[in-house]
Amino acid sequence: MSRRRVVITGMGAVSPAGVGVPALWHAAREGLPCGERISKFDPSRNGSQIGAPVPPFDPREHGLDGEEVASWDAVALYTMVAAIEAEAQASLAGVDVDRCGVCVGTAVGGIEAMENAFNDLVVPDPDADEAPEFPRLHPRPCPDSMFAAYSCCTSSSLIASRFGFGGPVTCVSTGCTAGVDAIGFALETIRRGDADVIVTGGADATFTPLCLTAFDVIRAITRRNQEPARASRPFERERSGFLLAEGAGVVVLEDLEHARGRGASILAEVAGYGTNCNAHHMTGMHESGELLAVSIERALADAGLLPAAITYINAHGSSTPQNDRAETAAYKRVFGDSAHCIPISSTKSVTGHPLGAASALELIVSTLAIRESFVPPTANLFEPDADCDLDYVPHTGRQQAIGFVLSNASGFGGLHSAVVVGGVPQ
Amino acid sequence: MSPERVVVTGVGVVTAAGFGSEALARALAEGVPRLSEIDHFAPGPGEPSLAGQVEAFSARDWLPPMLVRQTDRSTHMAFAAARLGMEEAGLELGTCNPLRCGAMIGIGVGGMVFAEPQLYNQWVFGPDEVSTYQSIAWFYAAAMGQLSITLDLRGYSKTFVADRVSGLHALGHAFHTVREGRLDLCLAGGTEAPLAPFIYRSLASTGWLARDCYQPFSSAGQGFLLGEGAALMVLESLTHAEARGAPILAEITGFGMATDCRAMPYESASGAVIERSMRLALGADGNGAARSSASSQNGSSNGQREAVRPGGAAPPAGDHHVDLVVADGSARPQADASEAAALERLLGRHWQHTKVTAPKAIVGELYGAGAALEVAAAALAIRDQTVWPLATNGDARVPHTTSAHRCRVDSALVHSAGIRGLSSSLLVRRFQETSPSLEV
Repeated sequence: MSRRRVVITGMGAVSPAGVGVPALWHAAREGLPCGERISKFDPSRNGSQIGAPVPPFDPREHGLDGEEVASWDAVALYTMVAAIEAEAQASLAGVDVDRCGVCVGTAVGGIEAMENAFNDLVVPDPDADEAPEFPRLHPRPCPDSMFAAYSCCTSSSLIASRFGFGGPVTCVSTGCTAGVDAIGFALETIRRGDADVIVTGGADATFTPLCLTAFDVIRAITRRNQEPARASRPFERERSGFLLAEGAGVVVLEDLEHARGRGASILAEVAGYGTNCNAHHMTGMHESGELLAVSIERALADAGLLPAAITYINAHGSSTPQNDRAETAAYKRVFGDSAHCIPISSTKSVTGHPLGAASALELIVSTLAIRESFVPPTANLFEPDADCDLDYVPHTGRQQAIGFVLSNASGFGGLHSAVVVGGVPQ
Repeated sequence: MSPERVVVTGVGVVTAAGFGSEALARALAEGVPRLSEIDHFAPGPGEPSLAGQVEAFSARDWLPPMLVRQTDRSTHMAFAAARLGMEEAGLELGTCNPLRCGAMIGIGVGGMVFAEPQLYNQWVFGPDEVSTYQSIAWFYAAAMGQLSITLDLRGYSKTFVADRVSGLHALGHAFHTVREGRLDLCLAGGTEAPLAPFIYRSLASTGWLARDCYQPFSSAGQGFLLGEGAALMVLESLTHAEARGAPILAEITGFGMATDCRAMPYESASGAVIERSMRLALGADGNGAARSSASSQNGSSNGQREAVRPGGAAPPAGDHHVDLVVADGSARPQADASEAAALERLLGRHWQHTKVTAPKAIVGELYGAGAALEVAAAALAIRDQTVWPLATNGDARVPHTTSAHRCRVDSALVHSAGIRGLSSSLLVRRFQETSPSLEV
């Protein structure tokens, strides 16, 4: 029996470019970078004071009940709005719900809900000049909605509830690769026959004081505070870290025959997924890109493709000095001299880095690149770094036919993951 | 390529029962709770003061000192469990292909023992006082990442965060990944260190915690008590295990996931959904790995909450038999009733002959690691050909034994439930050279 093929039948997005896939694609194809001073809280005591937040929107305009969402963390709100858009496109009424599942990845889950609840409950000790090992709390209870809001799997569960799904529901939480890893889980689950449809992707809402500080203190995020919209500059000579961002990317993955059987409109095929660890460092990456290359090779092998089949690469391109250099080296390892002939761009130049959401949003951009035969550019690529000497498509995109796209991601913990997406199967 | 058989070659556990599989097996056999009073912080009003605590745990025994500072207690315990499991498995990773060795970890609440003082620092003192290691110590994939670095595991690795079913999802995915040939070997299971004041308060707010006493399947059930700990099993393909002459403790043969999408946040899955996850784990012939892609015969998307909805390839109710059930046993009457009802429908005439046990009674509910601890208990029951007692006050309404005894244990079904109606099941079997079911 030949292996089941898996296709995308719906997509939804909430990103710093706005609500909806059209807003994301418009910003990506035009190379319109996001970035602003953080205004949700006062960042002035941090080194990095900028980010790319999701612009405010009214949930009621996107299919949600205001009262219902009041107890949710922002990550669940973003996920649900994106999921509603994706399901509307996939139009899943009438499917066997016990064979439908959900797996949305996230790096930090409902951290804002947790942090706010902690701050409300904690009793500072006036005599202590450092934090107690076990902080004291006011004797009142925690709001009972907080734990659900904090829990990483809540976004997945809420989608299951909304659409009545009874199949596999889980959450992969692997930091910055969470989105593509959730997508990989969904791909494998459908291929195995454990589900026909899985709503998957990644989401993160990161604008909390502790999140900003945590990335700031290890100098992972850019401090280009005077020029926030020029701060995310993947592969550029003056890049200085990633631009903290947030959002959600949701795709409906479906067994090909199941999609054809119900007359669903098929957008693209997820042809392969590969992943590995570098076993090197929790945040650092070896500049040789050797183990990063493994994830790409695995995705290609899983897709049954040679490197020559790839006609566009959507890079992780996080705008950190080390990633962009290591990634360039990895592409050369996999593609050899041909690496110079493949257009490569980083969506993070436009959206910043929304952690677990990134690789899901990037799968969506990759899909649209195929469908519209358009290679989106890398924004803010003023002067390429000498170590990043591949064709990173500076500033302006290109109209050209695209076959298969490689989209890869790397994350804390030494994770490398990659997915290969192709056009609609004939 | 035909699927690999997946065997357990080592069980590493760190819990209130102590260190290693022997300590756990002894404690399970004795059936005496090992919970103790929390004394490192003051539980709030209405919060239970009893929990499963790992005594005399020194992180420096298991990790390099520099790493201790950069990691949460959940990671410390994961290292201990990993080393204990690997030692039992006689595993020398240097002789394995690192690209085909991985870690699959379940965790529920993140590194809060590390994070609570950092939250305090951020709030009270400001960013300058927050630890450099906050981003890598608290985040969910920390244990997986650190284990992969220290042990040089370069293969397929993941972290699952799915409430109390996290550990089962990690083990289930490890099972599939080894079975389908993407890994030769996987350290799989879970870890959790939830005994910090704020996260403890959060968990209490769900209404799931008992006041003072854990009484599963009893009319007096109040909920469960928490515990900290880690349970990591060495899973290997049979090919890999036999090639290195590894001890084979048990075989994992099936895994199922089902969801009660109508459950409220802190409500457990219905009996029908639980039954479905169990049937998926048991497969068509009750032996496990049957990957039928037949859809449910009941196409209605709004079936009655308690209606039986058998999968297309499952035999009629009553034909399944398992020797031991390691139950979720959350001790909330509605949840227990649903689980018992599912088991009764699943096992039919065999129901009265099975034995139900709940290791939570001994070591507490390890939350994200709880289901992994339960799989460890199942594997040890098979290794030792012993059924564990159910520690109760005498009125548990499920078939069980009140004292451990040796008998034939061919199969152990593990079930775990979680937030918003999550239900997962996993089947552990005694390893036999000739597999009872070899399906493709």
